[in-house]
Amino acid sequence: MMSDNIKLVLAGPVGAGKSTAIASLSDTPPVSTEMPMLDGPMGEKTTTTVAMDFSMIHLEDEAPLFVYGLPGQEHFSFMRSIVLEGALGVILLLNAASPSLEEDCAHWLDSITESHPDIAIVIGITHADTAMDFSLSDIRQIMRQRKLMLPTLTVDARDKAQMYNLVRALLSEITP
Amino acid sequence: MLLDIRTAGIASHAEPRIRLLAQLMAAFGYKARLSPWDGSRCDVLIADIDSSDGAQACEQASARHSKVMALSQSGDLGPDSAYKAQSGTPAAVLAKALAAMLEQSAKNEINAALDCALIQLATVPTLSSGILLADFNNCSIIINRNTSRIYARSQNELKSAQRLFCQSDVDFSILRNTAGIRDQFMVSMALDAFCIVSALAYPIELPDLPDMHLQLIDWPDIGPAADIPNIFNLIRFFKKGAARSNAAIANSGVNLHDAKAMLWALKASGALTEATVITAPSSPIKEKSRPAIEAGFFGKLMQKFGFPANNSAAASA
Repeated sequence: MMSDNIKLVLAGPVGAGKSTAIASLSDTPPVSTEMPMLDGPMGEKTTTTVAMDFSMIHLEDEAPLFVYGLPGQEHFSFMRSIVLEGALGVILLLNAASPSLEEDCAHWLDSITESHPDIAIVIGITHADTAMDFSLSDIRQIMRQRKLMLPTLTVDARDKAQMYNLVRALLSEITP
Repeated sequence: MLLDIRTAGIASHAEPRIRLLAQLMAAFGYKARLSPWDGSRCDVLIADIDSSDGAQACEQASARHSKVMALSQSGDLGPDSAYKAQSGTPAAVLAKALAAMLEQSAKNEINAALDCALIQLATVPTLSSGILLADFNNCSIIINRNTSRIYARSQNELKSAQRLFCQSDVDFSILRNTAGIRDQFMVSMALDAFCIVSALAYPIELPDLPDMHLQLIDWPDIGPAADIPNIFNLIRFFKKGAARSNAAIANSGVNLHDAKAMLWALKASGALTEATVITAPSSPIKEKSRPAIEAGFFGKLMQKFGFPANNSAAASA
């Protein structure tokens, strides 16, 4: 793979914090396709990504790492395998406060591994501090059922240091 | 684990046997360094106390509570606390005895430190599951192993508990459920991160970890502990399979105190458990293949995201 087209992909359902996480990670303002939500606001969230988010992280010598955020809606699912092609890895973001957390986790894991079985995945769980019913053990159980032990970190998507920690976890998975 | 052994009064014909002993300590997970006694602090003194040098060194080391292996013709001389053996005892026997002595010493240190919440959580079997209320003098937290989370009444109380976790007396009580008090404990944090941050704040106060087979059960949730790149070395080490704690400390590339603190923390949080039988996993964890990225680019990635230099080197190999 040429180093001039390496990308990091953020995936996950609507409301997981992908656009916020990309803004935290990026060195340039993200190009976003935010539109008002047709079904009305979801908590404090009033807009959603309808195509994808795109941004860049500058490495040494200005070498770029491209960052793509997949749209969370299922009707954009056809885009996933295209964007995932050749990716360094995937950060799967999930919302701990969502009533469908476990289903979202299982669905996205299956969806990603079905098209790209060898791709490195880390899971970032947002809003864990406010979701009093959140149980990390449930997520770990979903992974055990799939014979996976993926880095699973609770994070604040607004916090650059915590998002960097997720990328470190991803890199540690693919370091020989 | 590094083991600083000093010798005193050893006759030249016995020196090869002591060197062999030092090499044999590798079988118990120790990387032994052998040097002559100079009066400074060390892990173990091996002295032939039939010689005046050996007897004097033995006295000094015992006075400062260092571990001593006392060799003599009769095999029964030396201070009460020392391991006593005959001068001609084979290296393998001495190595085994030394390993047992170190193990016992670590257990004694744990018992001395057992008031500290982190060590209790890591060593007391009844605290290894369910929901616990940890009560410190001026604050309390709920440790819920079912959810792998810590709960506190406020951020301040969470921070206080984190500070006290490796230092203070604690009263644990086991809760059947959190009904009735749940509404009071609305601030939460990952259990793994809580233990790691707490242990790394006081690594020197923690006792040595007894050498044991440890197995990584879950990838620890270190999300909120964002500034500890070394932890990834340790996790990668255990992802390869169960390993002895001393081997992890010696080979994971993490400094001794931090590695010890992180192992205690992960044992306390339950991410690492003691493996009684070491077998290949029946359903092996799927390993991800590394994408074909130029080594130089990978190095830049590691540097950008704050991995220590040794990790970058390993990655670009």
